[in-house]
Amino acid sequence: MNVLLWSVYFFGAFLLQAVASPLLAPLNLTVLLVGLFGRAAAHVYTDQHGFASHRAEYAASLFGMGCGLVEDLLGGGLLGPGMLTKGAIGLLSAVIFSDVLFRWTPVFGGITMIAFTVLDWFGETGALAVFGSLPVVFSATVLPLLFQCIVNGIAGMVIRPGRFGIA
Amino acid sequence: MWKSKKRLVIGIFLVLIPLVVMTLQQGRGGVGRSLIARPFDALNSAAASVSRSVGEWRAALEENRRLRLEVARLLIEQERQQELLNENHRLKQLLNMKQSSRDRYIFAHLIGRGYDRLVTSVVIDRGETDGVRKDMAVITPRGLVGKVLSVRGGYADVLLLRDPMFSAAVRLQQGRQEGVVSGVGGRTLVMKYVPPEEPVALGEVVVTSGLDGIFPEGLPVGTVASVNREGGGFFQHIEILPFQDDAKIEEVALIDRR
Repeated sequence: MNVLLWSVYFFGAFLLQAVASPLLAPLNLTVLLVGLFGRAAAHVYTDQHGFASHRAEYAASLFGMGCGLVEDLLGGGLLGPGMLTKGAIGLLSAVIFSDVLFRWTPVFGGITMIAFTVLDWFGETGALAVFGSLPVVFSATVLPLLFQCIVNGIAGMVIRPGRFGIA
Repeated sequence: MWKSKKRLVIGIFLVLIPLVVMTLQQGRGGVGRSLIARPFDALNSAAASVSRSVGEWRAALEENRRLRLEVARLLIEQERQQELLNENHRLKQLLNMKQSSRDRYIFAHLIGRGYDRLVTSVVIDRGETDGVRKDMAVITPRGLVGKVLSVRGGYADVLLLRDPMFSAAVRLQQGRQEGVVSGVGGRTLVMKYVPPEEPVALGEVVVTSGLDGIFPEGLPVGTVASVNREGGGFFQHIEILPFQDDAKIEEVALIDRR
């Protein structure tokens, strides 16, 4: 894994999310970032038979948790929901792209990113509802979720393996 | 099988760690969060402080630029106000001069220097149409300026005191000696035809005598700057410093003695 490249994507995603979200609509680029990292890790860390090794799952989970932690810290609210969902997305992404989807297609790419986005929404709102001090209005979060699904779904379809240096 | 167990362990850790973190933040005043977030909050605070400082600095620069422009505009405005006050003061002096005399006055603004390089003159914005005639005396509240040299439709040329072609009958205000004052092209004038035996004091005021039929009697001309009796001539050489510096003339009054 190219650490420098992923560092640039990491900071770029947070910066773009912080800058563009108040102007356009709330983006969720960290889900996309973690999902793509999991996919790349599954491709890069392989065993002697060419299958994804556990290193891919560790790396993707840790990267996801790290992203979630930074997101929670930036949000200034409850710490944990982001760690939980992003870590899970990292692990799932590595597992899906190594053992479930053996061949990437734009449709599969888009569907997985949409699924990750929905999972992130469920996990975060659920955790906030249980552990948070403020009540969560689920209906108010549906429209942003729809927008995030469209953006991340399109990105998942467009960013094919090998593009932008992502394996 | 082994692979699935490993995944399960990772999954459990993935769920456990955030759950512990979230639980720690509940019911204990957010101790868990404060411990984890303290360094990040400090960094965040520092970044916000830098951002705020930069914003304030930019705002200060912008304000500085705006205030500079405002100061420049106010200075120009102040200068304009001062000019108006000065003009008002001069015009009032001219008006007072008019009220204390029976002669008719024509007031004019100086609009330029004379075109002829051989003649020291100025151009005023009153001419034949305003009743200006050749040889009219031109004065300011400070004293004699010159006389009208030529007249056109709406303009007139004024021959200044310091031109060699200019001359006027004068007398010393205290000593009462008569003479003729004339320009020599320089800053001072010369008073001619005062015999050497006549005492002339430095600083004495010279006024017009009215004997030339052009200038009314008693117009201040200048003060005696130097007296030279040596040289064995028939007359003293007396230098007069005029009251009115012709580089500072703006408004003038023309005396119509008709």
